[in-house]
Amino acid sequence: MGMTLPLFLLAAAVPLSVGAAAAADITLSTTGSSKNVTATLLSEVQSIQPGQTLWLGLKLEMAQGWHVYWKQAGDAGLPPRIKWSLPAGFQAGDIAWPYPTRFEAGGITSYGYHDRVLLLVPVTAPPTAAAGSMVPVSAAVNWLECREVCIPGKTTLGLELPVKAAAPASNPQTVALFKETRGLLPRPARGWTFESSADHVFLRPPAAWKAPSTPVEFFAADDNVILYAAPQAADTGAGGWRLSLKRDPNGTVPKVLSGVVVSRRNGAVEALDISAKPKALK
Amino acid sequence: MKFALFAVAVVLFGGAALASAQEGAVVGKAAPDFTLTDSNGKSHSLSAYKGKTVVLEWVNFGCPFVRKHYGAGNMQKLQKGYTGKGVVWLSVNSSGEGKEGFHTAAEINALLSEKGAAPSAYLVDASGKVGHLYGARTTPHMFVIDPQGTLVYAGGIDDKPSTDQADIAGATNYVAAALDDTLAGKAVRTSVSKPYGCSVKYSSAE
Repeated sequence: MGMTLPLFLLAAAVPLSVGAAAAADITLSTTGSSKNVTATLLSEVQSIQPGQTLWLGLKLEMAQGWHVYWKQAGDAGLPPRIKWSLPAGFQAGDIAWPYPTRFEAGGITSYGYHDRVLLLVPVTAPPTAAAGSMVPVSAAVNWLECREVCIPGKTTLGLELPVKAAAPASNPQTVALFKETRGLLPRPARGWTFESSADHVFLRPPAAWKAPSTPVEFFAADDNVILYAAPQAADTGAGGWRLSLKRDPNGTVPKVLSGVVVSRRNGAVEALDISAKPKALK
Repeated sequence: MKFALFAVAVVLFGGAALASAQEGAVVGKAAPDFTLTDSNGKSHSLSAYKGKTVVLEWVNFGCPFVRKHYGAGNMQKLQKGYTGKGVVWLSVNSSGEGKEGFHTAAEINALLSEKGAAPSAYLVDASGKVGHLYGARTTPHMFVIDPQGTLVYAGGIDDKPSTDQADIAGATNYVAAALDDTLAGKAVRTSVSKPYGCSVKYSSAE
């Protein structure tokens, strides 16, 4: 394969060995830190099955008050990026992003995460992966951590997984975090539409969606459409419930309005991944 | 549009009560006029520069994205090159007092000298009024105004959002392109792009 193994930082507290059934030299997670963020690469399972997809996670743990960004940062900021080094035939897919939080300071609005986030990435093995071989996985990660000021962070994380013919066992160290994170992923929802006026986009839900009594937030996935800092007002008129989004005056009306709709009802969060289609203004 | 409202429940989400805060300047329309004082105590009004091509460069020397372009000499090269062609280059800082990027006039001049920066002037906008007027969100955030006073470009300095100096060489520099087009009397080829950088550190009182 001719791949050089990366240097990686080991935090003393991170255990390197797994359960009794695994060989002692299997590394399932490595760690690298910047001033305010600790990055760890985790595997959901303990081995790779030829031709199958497994999930890895980039965990970013942030010091109090610091945040990192969503795939669309908003007014300012920069999303975390991963550059994978994998053996031939292996493919890493796009990051699956948990739903974000809004950050506001001095009229600047950004989207991202605080405390801790696990960014999920699918990795698919070729059917020709040889059982008994070890697969080194390397991720060159960079991010921007911000509080009042911003600091770029970067590290290279590596782990090694064995290829086994059988379906892999879950990793007891990480299984709970992966499960929790899956619950934070927006679920695809169809039937949303939008109308546009000279300075607004009005987001409309499908008939079956019930509006909560609490505020609904829309996180735009694409830039140059709405003003991130503008208040999002929900109102219900003859045309039904709609969310008013102020347009970016230098933006364009999109062909599809993509993003995440987050609402809270009965203490639970509903996060919907929508691709709203345009409709004539009512 | 008129429609009967049977029930109106208005639930507002989103904090800042800054009605026009980030609406900002609109490409294709007249660039909003303003007056600010520079680091030498001299007053500058945009309207006085009619007849010239003007660049507004939102700056904060503490921001890693600004340090990327100054550290590589990229911003200084643009400043020298284009002021040499008669462009008026105004660096603007909208950091509130006590925020990152806010400096006294003496500190500003020392930093400009140390970095070999060559703007026509460095304007101090501590109240954030001009930043909000333009909708400046990031540092850097770049605006180009043509000799007729029309805003012809608003957005990022280039198309590679990162803090890595290595990305500068291969990037498309939107400001250079907009200035070349404007100086040649042509329509700007890319008039809007996503600005990237740290947030402008407006004072909290805004």
